[in-house]
Amino acid sequence: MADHASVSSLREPLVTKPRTLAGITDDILGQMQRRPTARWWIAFSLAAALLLLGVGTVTYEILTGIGTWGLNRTVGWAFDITNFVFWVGIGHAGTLISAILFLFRQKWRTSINRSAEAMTLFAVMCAGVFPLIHMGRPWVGFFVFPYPNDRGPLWVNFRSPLLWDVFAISTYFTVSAVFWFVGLVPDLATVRDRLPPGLKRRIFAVLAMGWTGSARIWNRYETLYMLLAGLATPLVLSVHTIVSMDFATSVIPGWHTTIFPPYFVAGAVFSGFAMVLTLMIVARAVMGLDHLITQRHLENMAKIIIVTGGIVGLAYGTEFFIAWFSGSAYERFTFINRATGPFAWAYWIMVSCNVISPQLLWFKKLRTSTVALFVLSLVINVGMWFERFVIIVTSLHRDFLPSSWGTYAPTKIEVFTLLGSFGLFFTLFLLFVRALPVISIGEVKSVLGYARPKLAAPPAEPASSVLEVA
Amino acid sequence: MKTTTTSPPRWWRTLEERTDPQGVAARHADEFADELPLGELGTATSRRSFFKVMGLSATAAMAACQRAPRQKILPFTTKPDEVTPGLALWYATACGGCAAGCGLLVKTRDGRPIKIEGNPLHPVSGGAVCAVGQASVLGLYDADRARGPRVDGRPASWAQVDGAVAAGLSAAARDGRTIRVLAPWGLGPTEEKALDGFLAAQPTARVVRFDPMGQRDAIADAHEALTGARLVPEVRLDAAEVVVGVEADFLGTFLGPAALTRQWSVGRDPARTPMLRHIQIESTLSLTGASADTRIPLAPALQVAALARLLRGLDTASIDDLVAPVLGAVAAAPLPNELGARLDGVARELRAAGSAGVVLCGSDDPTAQLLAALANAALDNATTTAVLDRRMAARAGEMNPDALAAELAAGQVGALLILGANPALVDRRLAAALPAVPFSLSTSERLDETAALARVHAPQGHFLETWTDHRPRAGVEVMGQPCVAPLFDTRAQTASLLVWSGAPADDHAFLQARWRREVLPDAGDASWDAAVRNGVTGKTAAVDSPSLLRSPAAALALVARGRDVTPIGPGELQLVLHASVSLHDGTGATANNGWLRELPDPISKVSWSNVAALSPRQAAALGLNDGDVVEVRTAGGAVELPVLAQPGLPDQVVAIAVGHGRTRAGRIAAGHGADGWALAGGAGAPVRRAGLRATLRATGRRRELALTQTHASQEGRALVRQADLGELRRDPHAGNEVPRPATLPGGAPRRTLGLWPGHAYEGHRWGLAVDLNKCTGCAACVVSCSAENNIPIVGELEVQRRREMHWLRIDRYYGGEPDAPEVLHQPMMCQHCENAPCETVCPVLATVHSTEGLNQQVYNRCVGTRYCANNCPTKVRRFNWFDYDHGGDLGRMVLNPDVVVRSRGVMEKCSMCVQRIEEARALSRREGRDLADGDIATACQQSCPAQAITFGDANDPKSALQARRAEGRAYTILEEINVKPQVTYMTRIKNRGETEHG
Amino acid sequence: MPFLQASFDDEALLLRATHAVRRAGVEIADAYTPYAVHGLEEAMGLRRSRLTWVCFAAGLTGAACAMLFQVWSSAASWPLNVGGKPFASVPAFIPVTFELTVLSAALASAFFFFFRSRLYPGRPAAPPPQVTDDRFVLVVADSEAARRLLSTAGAVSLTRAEGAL
Repeated sequence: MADHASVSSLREPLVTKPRTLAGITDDILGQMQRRPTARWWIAFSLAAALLLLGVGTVTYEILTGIGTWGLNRTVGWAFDITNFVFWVGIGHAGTLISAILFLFRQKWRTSINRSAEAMTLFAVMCAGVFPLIHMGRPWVGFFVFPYPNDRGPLWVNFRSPLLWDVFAISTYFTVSAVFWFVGLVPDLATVRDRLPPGLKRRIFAVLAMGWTGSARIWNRYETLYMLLAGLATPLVLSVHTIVSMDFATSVIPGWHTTIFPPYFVAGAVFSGFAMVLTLMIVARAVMGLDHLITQRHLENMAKIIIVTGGIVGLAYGTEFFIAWFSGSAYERFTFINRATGPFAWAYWIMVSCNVISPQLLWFKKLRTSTVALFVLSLVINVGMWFERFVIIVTSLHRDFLPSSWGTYAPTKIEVFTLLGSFGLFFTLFLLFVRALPVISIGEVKSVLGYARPKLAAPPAEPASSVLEVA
Repeated sequence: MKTTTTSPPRWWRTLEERTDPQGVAARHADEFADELPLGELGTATSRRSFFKVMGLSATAAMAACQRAPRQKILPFTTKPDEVTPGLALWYATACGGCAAGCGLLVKTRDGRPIKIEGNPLHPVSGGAVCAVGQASVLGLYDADRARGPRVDGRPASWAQVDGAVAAGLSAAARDGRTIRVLAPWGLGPTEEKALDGFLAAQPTARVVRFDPMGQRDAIADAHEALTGARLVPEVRLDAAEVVVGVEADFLGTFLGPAALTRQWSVGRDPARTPMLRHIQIESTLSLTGASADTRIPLAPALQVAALARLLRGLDTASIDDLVAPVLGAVAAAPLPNELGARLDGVARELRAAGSAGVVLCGSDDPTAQLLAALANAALDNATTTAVLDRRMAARAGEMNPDALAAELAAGQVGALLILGANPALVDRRLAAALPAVPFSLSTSERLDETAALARVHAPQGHFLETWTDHRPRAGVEVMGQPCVAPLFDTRAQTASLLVWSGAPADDHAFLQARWRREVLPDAGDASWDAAVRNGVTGKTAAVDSPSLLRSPAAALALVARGRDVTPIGPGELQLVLHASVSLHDGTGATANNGWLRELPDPISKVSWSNVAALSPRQAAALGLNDGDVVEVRTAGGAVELPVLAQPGLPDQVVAIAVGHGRTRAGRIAAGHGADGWALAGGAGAPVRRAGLRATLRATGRRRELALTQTHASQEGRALVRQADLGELRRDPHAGNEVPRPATLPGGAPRRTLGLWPGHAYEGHRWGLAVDLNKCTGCAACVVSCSAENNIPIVGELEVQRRREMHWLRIDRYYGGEPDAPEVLHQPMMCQHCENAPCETVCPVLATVHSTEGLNQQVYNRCVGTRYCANNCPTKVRRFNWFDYDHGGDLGRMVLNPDVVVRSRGVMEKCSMCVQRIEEARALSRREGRDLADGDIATACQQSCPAQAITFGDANDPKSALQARRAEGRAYTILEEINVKPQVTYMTRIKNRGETEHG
Repeated sequence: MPFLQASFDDEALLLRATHAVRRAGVEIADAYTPYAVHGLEEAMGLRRSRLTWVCFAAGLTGAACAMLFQVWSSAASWPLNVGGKPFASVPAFIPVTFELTVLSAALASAFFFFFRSRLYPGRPAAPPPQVTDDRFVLVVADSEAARRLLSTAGAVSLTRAEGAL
């Protein structure tokens, strides 16, 4: 109450234009009720086209064989697992924003967490595709589940990091989805009550689970939201930790690295925030929400990118130091080979995108320039994709026995599959902005009065006479 | 087996087939002859059509397959003769893969030969089989073999063939033209006898002996000039202390490589004193040179000079009346001083070895062979290491191909019968003259370059379909019984010769008669049965070597025929055409054999195609990189080939393997490599395999090489370890110190470090030991493994993509200087690590450890994440990128029913031949005893000519495996990552003599 | 019993009114707000939710089941020698255990929330007008005192209704 009553001169409003509660509702729901703009249609058809391309290539690959990819006896993973780790990484910002920032009472999160969570779900869907299609026999992919079967029963290998992935990714997706939906319920009710009678209203009525806004339920709701946030926070850290163990627990020089868990988590947050930036900048431009998604939001995310980018840079350095310090000839060779070998180009793309480019954000001028942020966010995502590519391919292509050293080059099929995953991601996201409130109405309303003088004293005159209800 | 075709097949699909099997078979034959997608293979886009190719036309074959052989053939074992379903029958026979005639054991399942192994009873090969011998079983199911005789290009009946022959021969006699029979070296005694019969029936007939690589021809010429007998010495390296190979790839392609490798490996045992000292002088980097203690690269132009220098360094007092004039007559190019000094060193070593020394020369130049023969005479080794036995001499009055070419040019030849050989490919003079010969015939097993030019094609069957025999040395006879009825309408060469000389066509009766008369002590059935069952009889007889002629006249005449040896100028190149391990006869008789084509060359590691090999310095000077296509041109002609910079080559040499680029070998051979024979001589000129001047012209095009190994340096990693014999005598761990883990301060050896206690292995615990000192890299094990484990052939394009499927590969590393590199071979198969990294990471338990220490792969459980392969430190796991075709219904007949054929999307790898382990276990159970050491031999071990591989039970302290592991030379790779491989390697030992040091 | 619905257009007024009626001892049936109004639960005197205990119990159960199942399936049901590691490689079982802990805790909490709040898909709901948009409604037992209090507390409208919602 106190913070609400008094106005701190240090704080800036989270919602820049003065708005009434109803105004907020209009701003956000307007997006859904208005007809889609031409720009939306263009974006959507592009995304859908990419998605179709992806579906086509994956079908071809599954019908013909993994041989349609550029892999060989030395390099058994390349684009497939690179894309997987990349998308999982993207999927980290959402939950991080909604959970961790929530726990830290970062109220500025309120206008971005909804779409960030949606982004998480879609990114994890994209990620989930790859472990499945990278299998030689995807049609028996269900072998990875420990179900009672007639083969013994033969269970699964709980020592395998790939199996940990199965559990980590599915848990992460489920919990994120629950978290997202719970956050949506009050807004779904708002939509329900706004809509004219009809099919759409009936659908939202079902989804809203009969939400009435009762204070008793709000009270319980707050607890649940807190719990989910508290659970999602260690979860989000665990997921990329486990993904990093795919490599860290192996014997291959360049993979067998104990700093991978923190290194990967930082990288994930790094790329995740870059992707949120990309989407937010587009969203506020296209949907005119810049009074809700303000310059300040962008700047805060930029700051987080500086920090995580720094951690990533530190990790790169540490790897090299340990490679030298370990005294292992294989380890040393692998890292020298990364920086100077056949894939040096990839390595230096990674370094310049992930370590050098974020340093530009130290300048407030760039940090506050939407264009600069947009470009940098793209650059960083390119860099993070290459980070995974470098880790996977350069470590594999020259390992212990020089006799089996080889090289790797992707085929069209692999490139199309990557494009297809972007198609899937953007198709889902564009549908989301049409179908659901992209900003958490309830939460924004709760911070509307934030850092604003309290309303004037209540009117003294008595209320209008009581209407009798039969 | 003509008689059988008239009887109805036991099994039939249609009534029509039952009543008229021949008609159906014939129609099928035609049908398939028409439908084949010829020439599709070479194009990079037709991977799938390649897979389809290996065996179309199955039904005809199946129909043929059902016929039982009429003669009595006996399994090697004492099991009952009739086939027990699920149990293999082993038949002893003789290898027809080359002239050596090694002893084979053929594993047949349900009447199908599926695997070839060595017959340990064979006194010469002693159980060794080379890669070609191993692969010959696939040749049996070659869809491109001739399916029946042809006359004037049209399918014909055998009656028509015999009619045409009779007519042709009488016409030749009428016109006063000569009859010539061109025969390869190494015909069996029975075939020779049939040939004698033919010669007797045709007075004007003479035999032309033909060796594609010209080696035996030249050797015979030389010995004829010195002794009067056309002889090829039988080399016995087990009795040798110093062997000097001059251009003689005797571990890879020369004479009987399998047997010679076996003998060589016996001598190479460092425990043996003296350990065999091996010096190689050669113009290419051959398999043999790679294994030599001392290797002296030498351009062909200097070959004669070098041999002369060697001869001068020997003690020739006793034969000076021959040596002096010959050395006087030989025009020898001047030798560089330090080379001369080294050669003198070699001579001193030979001299010291005396009759335990031997010079092997693989040149096709009679002069060179003459000098080599004199060197051996000087060493007086005719009864010890280079055995000359009068009884082994070829028949007198045989001609060599040059003489035949002259007759052909003069148009004197009225009938030319070519037995099996393919001379038109090699000698373009024959190719040009053959169409003009009134009557010509070929008996080769396929419609090859020669048969296509001949009027009559009377195809002989595969050696596994016919009765053959061999005489590897005087007194020893090898029986080659058929193991399956002919798949196609072919006729044994012996039978054909019998018919054409007016005798009954029963080659089996003929062979049996000869054996009962000449070979078997008592002509009783028992001894005959024993001979057939064991595949070999008789024992090594005392040597009856011919004495040297006292006059040098013949020798000088031979020298006069010699070649120009004017030294080539700087920048000039000399062509060297050489046979390769997979096509070791030189004409690519095995060119249509997928196993051999996919087998990478042991040295260059190029599979499927041949290359123009240059020394790295020369390649750099010409600005050529690996894969740049150049046009190689000689007086003979020109071919286009990709360049490969091959360490160890003399700078003046461009080396090309022959037998590639064949147009008529079949669909698997088509489109791979280029035909080096086009360069060999050309119209009118004699075939010359080494020394022709060659020029290179870059075409500006590039061609991806199908290399299975692209990095040649060990990067200082102690994978292959090597030491000198001297060091080893001082320290049994020589060369094997680093990085043997030191003991920890506590005193515990570091290798016991580990996070986990590990598992106990009671009962058996299987392991392998590979002696790198014996391994020559000959790759017989690779082919044996492919045959045993149904390993698919993926084709050149997939090999270029580094997706070959071999479970067992041979890593080849270079050390030292590019001019004279150390070549290190290391067979690399699944190491069956005790702490297997692959197992931990598999999410579905598709690869786990057995209680006997085997790393098992469970195909039907595998989902194909490839995580195991990524995490494999030795990268021995192989992934099924596609559904690989095993050659249609015909090719599939060679599959081993004891091993699963893997489907698309699963991982596979070496299983240590677990099916053999289980078979032996079942056998021992039935015999109510425990498995004994030696009961089990893995495919690679059984076939290893050098006996470098030992399989055994690590829990049995008396096992051969433990004995090897106890040696100081034993080590495992990658000890430092503590995966605890169960494959032990043994340090390679070099026996450097004075040539190296002095 | 009859109820009185007072709707406000600002959370501050709602809070003030809530405190007032509570002080006056009027029974508060419920309040309806477009978002979670902080301090309202104290004003209404609501107890803290016990959902946390559900979450804790579910988490424990998940952890226990996960670890036990892994040990049982890899060491008891079908033990296999995998990479030389012990049958029960407990450290390797921790990641899955953790994931299942979080999963069961989260799902159980959400489920019990909806269960306890009697919210389910398609449940009919007729909240007071505009409470999901910009109105704050307080529902109290109808009485003179309540009317007086609320009409002076700045309610934009007062409505009598039979029975709570």
